[in-house]
Amino acid sequence: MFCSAIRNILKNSQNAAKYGAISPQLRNLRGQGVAQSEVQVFKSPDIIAQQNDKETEPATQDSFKEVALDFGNREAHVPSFNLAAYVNKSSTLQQFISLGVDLHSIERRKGLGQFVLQLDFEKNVKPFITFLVDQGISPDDFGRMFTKNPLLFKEDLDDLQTRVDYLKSKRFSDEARQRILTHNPYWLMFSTRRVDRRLGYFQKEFRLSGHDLRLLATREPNVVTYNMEHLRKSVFTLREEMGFSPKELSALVVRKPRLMMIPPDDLVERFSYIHQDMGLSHAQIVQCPELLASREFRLRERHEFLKLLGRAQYDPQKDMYISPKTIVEGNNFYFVRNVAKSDFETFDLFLRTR
Amino acid sequence: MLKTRGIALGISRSYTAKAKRSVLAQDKSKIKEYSPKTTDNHEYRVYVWGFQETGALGLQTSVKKAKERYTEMVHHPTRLQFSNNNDIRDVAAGYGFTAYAVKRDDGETLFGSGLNTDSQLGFQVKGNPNDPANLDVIIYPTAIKLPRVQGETDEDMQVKSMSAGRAHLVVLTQNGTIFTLGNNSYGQCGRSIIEEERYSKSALIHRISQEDICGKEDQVVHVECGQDHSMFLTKNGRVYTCGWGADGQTGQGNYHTAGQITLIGGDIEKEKIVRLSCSSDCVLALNEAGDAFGWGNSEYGQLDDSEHAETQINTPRALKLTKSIGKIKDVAAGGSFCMALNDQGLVYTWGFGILGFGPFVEQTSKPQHLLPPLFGRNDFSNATTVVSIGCGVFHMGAVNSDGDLFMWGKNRFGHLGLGHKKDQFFPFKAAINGKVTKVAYGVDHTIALCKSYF
Amino acid sequence: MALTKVYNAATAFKNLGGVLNVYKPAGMKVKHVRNAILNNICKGLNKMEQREPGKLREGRFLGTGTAADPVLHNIAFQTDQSDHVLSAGPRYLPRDLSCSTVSSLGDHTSGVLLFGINRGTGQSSSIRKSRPVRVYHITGRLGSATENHLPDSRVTMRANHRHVSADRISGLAASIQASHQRKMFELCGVDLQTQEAYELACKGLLRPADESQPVVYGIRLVHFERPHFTLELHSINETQEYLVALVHDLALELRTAAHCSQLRCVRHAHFDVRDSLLRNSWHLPGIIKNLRHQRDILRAHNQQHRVELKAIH
Repeated sequence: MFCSAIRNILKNSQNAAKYGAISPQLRNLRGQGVAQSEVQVFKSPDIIAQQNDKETEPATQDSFKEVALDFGNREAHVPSFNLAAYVNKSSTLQQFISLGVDLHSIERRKGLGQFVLQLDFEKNVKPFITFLVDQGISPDDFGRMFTKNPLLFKEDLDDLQTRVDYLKSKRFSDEARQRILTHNPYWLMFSTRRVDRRLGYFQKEFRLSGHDLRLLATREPNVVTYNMEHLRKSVFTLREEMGFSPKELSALVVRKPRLMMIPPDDLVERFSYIHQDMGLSHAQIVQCPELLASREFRLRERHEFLKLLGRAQYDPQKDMYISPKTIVEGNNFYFVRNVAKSDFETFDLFLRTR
Repeated sequence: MLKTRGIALGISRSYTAKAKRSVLAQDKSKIKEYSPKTTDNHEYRVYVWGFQETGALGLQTSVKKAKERYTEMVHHPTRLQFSNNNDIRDVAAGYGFTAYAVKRDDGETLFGSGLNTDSQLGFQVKGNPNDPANLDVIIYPTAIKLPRVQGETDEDMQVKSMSAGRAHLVVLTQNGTIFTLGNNSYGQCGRSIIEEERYSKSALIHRISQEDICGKEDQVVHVECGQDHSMFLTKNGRVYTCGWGADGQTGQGNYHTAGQITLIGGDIEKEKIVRLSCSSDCVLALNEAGDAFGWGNSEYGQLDDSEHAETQINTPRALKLTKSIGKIKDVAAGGSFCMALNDQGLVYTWGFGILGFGPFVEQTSKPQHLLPPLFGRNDFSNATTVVSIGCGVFHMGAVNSDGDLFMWGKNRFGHLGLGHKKDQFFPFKAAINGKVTKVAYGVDHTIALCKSYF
Repeated sequence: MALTKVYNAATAFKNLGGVLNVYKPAGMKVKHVRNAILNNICKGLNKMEQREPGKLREGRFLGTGTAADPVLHNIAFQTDQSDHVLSAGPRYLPRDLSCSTVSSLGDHTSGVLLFGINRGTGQSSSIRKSRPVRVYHITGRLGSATENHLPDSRVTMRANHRHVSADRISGLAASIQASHQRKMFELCGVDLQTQEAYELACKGLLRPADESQPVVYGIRLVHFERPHFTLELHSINETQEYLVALVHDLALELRTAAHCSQLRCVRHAHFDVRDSLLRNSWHLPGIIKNLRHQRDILRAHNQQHRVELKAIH
C-alpha cells in the first residue's frame, strides 16, 4: 500500500514499470546500514574449551546471553521514573507494546508518560484506531505514529474527521491522504484553519497551482506543520541569498520540499560549494535539487574524487558528461563503481588524504 | 554576496568547516595587498654578536645614541644593518675589529669597523679636514681606501682573501696584490720593522705584489693571520710567513721576528698545502691528501703529546696525533687547542680548554670526536654532517650541512650567541635566521655570513 | 585464533574493547566523532540478536499452572512486559560504553584519532602518558592570509609568492627544526652548564618534561605545487592553533602570506593513517574489525613501547 502511494506520487517522473526494473539497484543504493546484524570476533580459547564440554552450539550461545535482573514485585502506587514499572499492571500499556509503540521514547518527553498512563485502551484508544483504519492506514504504522505523537488521543474524533474531510475537499487522493497521515502524525493536530493558512502561504509564496501544492504537501507532509519562522528563513535564504528566481524557486521546492526544513546555514554552505566550487548554474541545481539536500562533506568527497580522476565534467554539451544527479546518488560503493568508474581502494586512499 | 549571479569569487577556498556567512560575504576587492621588500638582491646577509664596546660589531650608527643606550655586549646574533645595503662578499675578524669585503658601484671594496688604534682599518678621521680628529674606534663600517696604481680597475681591487690578527689586517685582491695595514712592530705587515714607529693616525698601507713573494709562476691564493704574524698560501701549496716568531709560529726554523716574507720548509716542503689555520700562535696546515701539519706553540701538547715534547716547534712538522682519524677535510687551531674535521663529518678536538665533552673534560692529549647528535643529527635529519669548522682563541664552532652554526667554549663576551655569557660545554646551536656559509671567529666577537631563506 | 560469526549482541559486546583508530574528518569536532562512534556501536548492537524479555514470577495470578491446562500455563509463564525492548528502552545505550580519547585533534584537523573503548581506556591512557610523537601533513596555501590562519575565516591580506621556491621552504624548515631541537633543552628542565645536559645532548632528541609546550622534532617539505605546499611535521604537545600559526609565521619569514588549507595527522605513535577507520565504515562490524587490528599493532610494538618509556625517565 505504501509502495503504491510512492508510485502514484512519482508517477510524473517515472512510471511504475521502470521502477520495478530498478528495484534491485535501489537495494544497493540503500546502503550498508540495512543488514548489519552479524559481527566477526575472535573466538577466545576458553569459549572453544566450553564448546568441547557442551557439544551443542545453542547451549554455548545461551551461556553468553545476559540474564534479566529481577527486582521483585512492584506496587502500582509507588512512584516511578518510567513507564516500564507499570507495564505489567496496565493492559493499555501492554496493548501499546503489542502495537509496537516505543514507551521508552514517550516517557522521555515531558508529561507524556503521565498522559499515556492515564489512557484507557477501550475508551481512549480504540476509537482512534478504528478511525485510522477507516482512513486506510496500515496497522504496521500505528506503532511509529503513536510513538511520535501520543497526544493524538487527546483530540476530538469529530475534529479529526473534519480535518480529513478538509483534505478530501482539497482533492487530495486517498493515497496522498494516507501518506500524509502516516508520515506526519502531527498533521491531524492542526486545525483546518491553520492548515489552510499554511497551504495558502505556500501557494502564495511560490505561486503554485493546486496540483503542485498537493504534490508538495504529499511529498513532504512535515513541511506543512513545520516551524513557520524556520520556513520563512529558509525561503529567504533560497530566494535572496542564493538568488533563485521565483520560477526556479517554485520548481525547486516542489521537487524537494525538504530543502525548506534544512537549517539555512547548511543550505548556504552547500550552495556555495555547488555553485562556486563545482561550478553548477542555478538552472542545473534546479534540475537536480538532490544536490542541495546532500550533506556537504559527501558532495565534497565525491566532487573532489571526480576531479582527481579528471572526470568532473558537468557540462552536457561536452564529452564525458557526468550528470550532477548521479553524484549524490547511492552509497559510496555504487558511486565509485558506476559514476566514478574507479575501484574502491583508490577511493579509500583518496579519502585518507583529505 | 551570492545573490548576484555569475560573480565568481577571486579565490575559491576549501572549507573544512561550515562556511560562515561573513566569510562568504567578504568583499574580496578590499583585501590589503602585502608586498614586502623581496628585492633583497644581495646574496648574503651578515649576523654579528659578541663584545660591543670595541665597535667591531658595527651595529651602532651614532656615538650619541650609543652613549644613551650603552650596551656592553650583544648576546644574540643580530642582523647587521650594513649588510642590507651592501653586497658583502667576505668577512674577517681581528682582535676587536672587523673587515668586510664589499662589492659596490662606487668602487670601494673594503670596509672596516672596530678598534683602529694601530690604523689597522686605515687612516680614518672625521670633522674639519684641516684639523681632523682621529678615530680610535669606528662604530659603523667605513670604507678603507686601498691605494691603487695606474690602470687598476674596481674589479682588480675586489678582495680575494683577507685575514686579521691582533692589530693588523692583510688583504689579498683579485689581481694578486697584497695590502697590509696596522701594527708592524714584529714585521707582521711584511715590511722591515721601524723602531718607534707611530701606528696611530698612520696613513700607511703597505703594498706587496705577489710576484715579490712567490715569483711569477705561482700566485698567492690565501692569507692567514695569527696574533702577530702573517702567512701566505700559494696555488702550488707553498707557505710563506713573516712576523712574530717567539713561539716558532712563523715556522722559519728560528724564534726571531721577521719583517721579511720567507718560504718555509720542514715537513711541508714537498707537500701541497691547501689550508692554513691559526688564531693566535699555534698553526695547523692541511695538505691535499688530508694529512695535518703543525708548528708554533705546543704548550698544551696540541702538536705533540710525547713525553719530552718541545713546547715550541719552529719548523713545520707532520702531526702523529691525527694519523688515526683518517682523511682530514678541515683543521682549525685555537689558543690552546686544535680541531679537525674528517671526511666522515666527525669533529675531533684535543688540547686544553673547553673541548665540547662536557664540563668535566678540560684536557685531552689524543684527538677525540664529538658525537654527531650534538651537531643536529637525529632520526629526522639523519644525513646531517658537519661541513666546516673554525675557532677563535677560546671558543670553537662548526657549521653543518643544513647551514646551522653550533658553538661552544668560553663565553665571557657573549660571543657564542647563546643569549647569556655563561660558558658552553658542548656544541649548541646559535639562533641565526639564515643558512650560515662562513663564520669569522674573533677573540670576543663573531660574524656570520648567511644566505637568506627567501 | 579462528574467527567466528556472532549474531548475539552480548557476545559482540564482550569483544568490544581496545584501542580504536578512527579517521577523523576535517571540520568535525572530536566530541561529535566520539558520539557518532558510540551511537553507531549501540545501533549495531541493538540490531543484533537481543536477550528475550525475562519471565514473570510464578504464582502471581493463579498460582502454579499445570502443564495440562494451557490457559493457566500461559499466564504463569507470561513474559515480563516491563523488560520488553519497547518499554525498557534499547538494550545498549552510548552511556553504557566507556570511551576515552588518547589526545585531541583540532576541529579542522583530519586524520588519526585514537579512542580507548571499554577495557581499552587503560591502554589509551598509557599511550597518552608515554607522550608519543604525532606526524602531520600540513598543507599551506601561499598568497593569502586569513584571520585565524584557516580557510574558514576572512582573508586579511594577499601577497605575491613568485619568489618562493621549494628549496627556500625546505631550508627554512631545516632551520625551524634545528631551533626546536635547541628549544628541547629549555623544556626538559636541565641546566645547560652541567654534565647531565651534555649527556642528554649526546643522545639527540629529548622529550619535554611536561605537556605545556609544543616541540617540533622534524619538519620538512614533502610537496610543493604552487600555491600549495605540504610539510611533514613530527611533534609532541602540539595543538591545532600552534600548527596553523607555524604555517603563518613560516610564510611571513618567506616574505609572503599563507594560510593552512589542510591539517592531517598521518601517524600517532604506531598507529598509521592507513589502518584508520574511514567515516563510511563507522559501523559495528567495521569498528570491531579495527579494534582487532589495533590490538595486533599494540602487541607487535609493546616491547618497543616499554623501551621508549624507560628512555624518558
